[in-house]
Amino acid sequence: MNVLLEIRDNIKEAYIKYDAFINPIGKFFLALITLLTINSRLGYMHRIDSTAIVLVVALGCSFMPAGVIMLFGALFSILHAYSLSLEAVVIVGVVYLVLYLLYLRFVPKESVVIVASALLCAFKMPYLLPVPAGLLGTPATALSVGAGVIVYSLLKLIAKDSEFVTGAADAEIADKIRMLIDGLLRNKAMLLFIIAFAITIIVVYVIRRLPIVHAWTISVAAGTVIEFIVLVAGNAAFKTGLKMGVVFFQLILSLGVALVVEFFKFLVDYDRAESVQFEDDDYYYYVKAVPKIKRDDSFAGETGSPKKAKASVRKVNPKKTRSAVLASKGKKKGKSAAEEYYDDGADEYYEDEYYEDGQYEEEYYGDDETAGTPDDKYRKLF
Amino acid sequence: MIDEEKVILMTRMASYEAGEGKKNLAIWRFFRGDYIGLQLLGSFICATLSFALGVALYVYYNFEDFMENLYEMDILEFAKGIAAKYVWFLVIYMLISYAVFAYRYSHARGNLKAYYGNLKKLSKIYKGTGNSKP
Repeated sequence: MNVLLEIRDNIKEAYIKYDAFINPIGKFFLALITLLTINSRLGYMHRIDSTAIVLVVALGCSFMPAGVIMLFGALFSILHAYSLSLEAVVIVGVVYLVLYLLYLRFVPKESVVIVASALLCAFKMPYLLPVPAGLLGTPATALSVGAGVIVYSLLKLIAKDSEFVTGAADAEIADKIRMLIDGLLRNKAMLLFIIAFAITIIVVYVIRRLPIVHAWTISVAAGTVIEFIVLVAGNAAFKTGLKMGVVFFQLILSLGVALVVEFFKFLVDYDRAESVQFEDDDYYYYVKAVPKIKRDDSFAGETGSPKKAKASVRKVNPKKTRSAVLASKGKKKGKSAAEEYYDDGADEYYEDEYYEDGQYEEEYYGDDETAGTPDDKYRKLF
Repeated sequence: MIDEEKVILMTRMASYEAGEGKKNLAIWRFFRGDYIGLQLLGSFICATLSFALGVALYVYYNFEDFMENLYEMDILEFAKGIAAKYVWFLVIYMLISYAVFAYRYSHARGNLKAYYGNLKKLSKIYKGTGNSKP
């Protein structure tokens, strides 16, 4: 466990140290994958169906806010739809516009979730997202994931091997538009995904915020189970033809991803939880404090019993030894005599506290910062 | 001598100003009524545009039926139906918008209260030391 915690802390430290490089690289690869996927599935406009242009655009996206990735993705898909037919560009344009006007203007940062949801659907792995999204997001994330599913379903309608492209070449304009709208509104698989993912995200969000022990773990398990149940029930009801084996396998993967997210985001030791009560002028406070598991607090060696928490002792106005003062005199000549202390040669520093009833405690602060546990303190009562 | 407390405070405030503070300060420039009113105006325009697009698609979807029954259908009743749906859609969307932006305003206010508290603390530190350097 300590090894895992060490790896986690190293990853976190590395991210904090190099985030100026990691963030642009991450955005570059997300933009690259998004645009390459759109080009491979649509690819009707040959001018933009070029690796060089995709690389340049992805490079530009890496230095701009993350929402620009969705903007370029939308632009690319509109251009491909324009090359395909007028009807396609009208429907795609209207759907994107309504999505922006009604939803994205509230939460522009959710555009990354929409892109991730659409990409996972394109790679036939849509079931991976809802549980981790519920852990990391809010109930509004359910709308973002649903929007991603809608965007994917819409682009799938005008993809290279779709019925619209292969079978409707000679149809009237009105028939083509009707085909696209029907394809979107009567898509039962899309509806099932939206409902299942929304329920999963909300359930995970609600449970993880409950003040119960192991709330996050329970929410991950509950979310996975509920997602499976809703998909099975929906598949039976709507006859969508989902492969339950694939669904089950991806849900197990999703469980693993969610547990990794929990490990990085929320790892606490419920065994050492403390409940405290106090009051001020306005309120009574009932507080439960649950300590995070950190590298040094993890389980100890062979006995398996948890280590005692080390108390780090902070020196209060430490007295300087004669040798240290004499050594520093040569470096800082401006020091006043008041700043120089001479002790009897002892390195310890005692701080006395006097209580009104005549008792006092002496507390020993050693040079070794690991000392100072309750057993090591020296007490004298009289 | 570097005042550690002052440096910590200033670092925290600078970090807030660079991140969430930008958004909150932009919100806080307005009175509550003005901010929510402005956002609701935007929501009204967006909802109207979206509804218009939806109606246009619906009419185009049923274009043949409309053309065939244009002289037989009660256009007034049809328009009333569309208007009623528009009003319902607008009311629900405006209510959701109001809730979202009212929450954002109160959330920004809470954060900025803490920020101005830190400003006050910093000002006291400066007055205490009589020195502008950290």
